[in-house]
Amino acid sequence: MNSLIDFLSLADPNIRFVVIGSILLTASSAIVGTFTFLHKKSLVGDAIAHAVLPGICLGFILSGTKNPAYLIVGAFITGWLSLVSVEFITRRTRIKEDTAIGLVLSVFFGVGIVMLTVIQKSGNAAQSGLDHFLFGKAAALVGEDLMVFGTVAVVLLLCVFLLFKEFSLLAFDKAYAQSIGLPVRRIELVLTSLIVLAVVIGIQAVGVVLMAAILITPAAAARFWTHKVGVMVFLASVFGAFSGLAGAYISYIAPAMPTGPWIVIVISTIAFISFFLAPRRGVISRLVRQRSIRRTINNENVLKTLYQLGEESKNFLRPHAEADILHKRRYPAALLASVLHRLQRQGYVQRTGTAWQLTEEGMSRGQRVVKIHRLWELYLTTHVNIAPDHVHDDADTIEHLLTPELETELERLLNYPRVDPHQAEIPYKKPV
Amino acid sequence: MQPDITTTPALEVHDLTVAFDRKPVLWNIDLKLPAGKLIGIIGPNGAGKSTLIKTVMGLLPLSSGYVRLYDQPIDNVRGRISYVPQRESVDWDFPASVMDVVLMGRYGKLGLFRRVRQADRDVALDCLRKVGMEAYANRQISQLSGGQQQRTFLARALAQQADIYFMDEPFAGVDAATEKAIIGLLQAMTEAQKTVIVVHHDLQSVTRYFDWVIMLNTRLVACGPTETTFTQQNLQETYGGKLTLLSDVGDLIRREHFPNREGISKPAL
Ligand SMILES: Nc1ncnc2c1ncn2[C@@H]1O[C@H](COP(=O)(O)OP(=O)(O)OP(=O)(O)O)[C@@H](O)[C@H]1O
Ligand SMILES: [Mg+2]
Repeated sequence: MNSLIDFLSLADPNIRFVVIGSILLTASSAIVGTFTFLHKKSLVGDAIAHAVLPGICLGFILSGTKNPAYLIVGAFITGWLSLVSVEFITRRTRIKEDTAIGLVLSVFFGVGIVMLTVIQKSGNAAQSGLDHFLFGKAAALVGEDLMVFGTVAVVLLLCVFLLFKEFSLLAFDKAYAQSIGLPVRRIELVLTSLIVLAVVIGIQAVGVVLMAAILITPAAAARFWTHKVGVMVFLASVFGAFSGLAGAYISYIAPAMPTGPWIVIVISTIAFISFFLAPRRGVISRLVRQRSIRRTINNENVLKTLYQLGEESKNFLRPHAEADILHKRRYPAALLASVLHRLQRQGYVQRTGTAWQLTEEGMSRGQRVVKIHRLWELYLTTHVNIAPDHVHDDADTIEHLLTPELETELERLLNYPRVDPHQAEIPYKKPV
Repeated sequence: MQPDITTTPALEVHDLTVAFDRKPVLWNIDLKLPAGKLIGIIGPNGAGKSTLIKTVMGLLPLSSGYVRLYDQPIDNVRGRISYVPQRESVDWDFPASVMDVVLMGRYGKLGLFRRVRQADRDVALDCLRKVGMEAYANRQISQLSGGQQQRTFLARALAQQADIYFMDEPFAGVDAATEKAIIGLLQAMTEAQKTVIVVHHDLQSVTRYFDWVIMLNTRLVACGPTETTFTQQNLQETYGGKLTLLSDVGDLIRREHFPNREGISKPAL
């Protein structure tokens, strides 16, 4: 616990640099990454990340120093070049974009690795640490880096703020954007520059290989939680910032742990959790919804059966043995027992000895289901022209689904008919 | 073949040829459209109807010819032009509400960097009302039916408050009652001197809906007022038999890497 307090107080300047640096990097990549994701350019982000490596090496070879300014310029140039190559290949040949990206990515990265090896073999003392760009060096961030990161983050934020509606429109419908006269090419140029910028800065924390993860994963996670681009940008940056913070903390308490990979592990976990937990779009909530629907259906089917047994004996509150219920309608016996117990807890049935009988509430709910079933059968035959022997299965579904408003409308439309197509009486309100 | 238009035409297309991958899909189109009319574009699948609209909107490069709107190049009159793309051209799983999409129709008027204002929202809501979608303003676009998507696109175009509208199959997937309501809306617009150009597939309704028709099948078959142009003979020519020779020559141009105009060799798209 102490370590967490020490860490969060940011008293140690080294920790301060790492923490603030990591957060700046991850949050700003996430913001730009949201638009990369929405523009369906996720793969392009990966290509740029790999393609900056030769630029960094070239910057080093030409300048002979590890001065970040030279390396960044080099990275920017080859990052751009890779994009131009992808576009050129897709435009001028029959090769599709994904193939072109794969091609460009591996060629640029391969060249970068060769150059890196050559530099390392050359015995130039200044070269040590260049391989940081492969896996990142978040734990070694210094004050100078922060200045650069801070500036870049401000530029990114400003561009996204100013061009928010243009970026969104372009992602949704580019042809339309062009048709209303927006300078589409120039806006795309700005966006691409922002991606390159975010990548060039980001690889210093997490490295070439993992860069695409911090660019795209926060956006992918955020998408599960919202239907608004603005909220999505905000959530992605929060997720990004949190993973930056968590990554820095983990490598603080366990110094052997690299920051960059931990950032990626944390953000991937967030994405994973979102996938399972998010409301509506998430897997779990979908399962929960399906389960509750299934329960309602089972409940109502049993109530319906009890009600129908009541119709036969003209006594709705008479107890029935489970065997009688099973005789009227086939259920797995264990399922029936568990549904009956649930209905008992909910107050729809009560138990007398080994037999079950409807309560007042259970009776009126069973009655409603039977009523809707028969009304719907009638509606399908009279208004939709479906043969009477085909309407039963449809009605079996609709009886659980209809809202009270639609129920009233159905009654009114059919004008409270007395019997259904099979001459069974349609029950309204309290019988007995 | 085409009657003269005395006033400035809303749209003039002159000797337009458009090619994909060198193969021309529209050959030497010449047409002039009057302002204030409801105009249908008809022709079989692959006739180049969408291509014609996209080219007029400046979304595709032309191999030859020119396009003028209100006697000006398109870039001078963008603010007066509105485009309804085919509904399948976008990914409806985008995170946006119906309102967000309709507001996009205001972006042209707003210009770069500017935020949407309350006035824009009011216009957007009004347009949603016109297409009967006001109840869906806050609905996620991923939860719309095909016909509702189409009406959303229509509302977006209306929100541009343009003078000339190009609509690519606005009635695809729209039910008959809505189609009738929308046609009424479009007819009212033309009475206010707006020009509306609609790609349409249902030949039964052409004479009821349109003042003018453009009949297209890789080349222009006919263009003029519906009662004189929409004839059995023109229909036969538009829909009857494919022009195999024209299409074969197009293939030849692609294979042989011929420029489709001497002297100009525009790169294929
Ligand atoms: N992006 C493209 N690349 C290559 N060929 C294309 C492309 N788009 C259209 N074409 C070709 O151009 C021709 C005209 O297509 P277009 O979409 O304009 O037809 P259309 O009249 O709108 O047809 P539909 O009624 O099916 O919408 C077709 O033969 C089509 O194959
Ligand atoms: Mg089309």
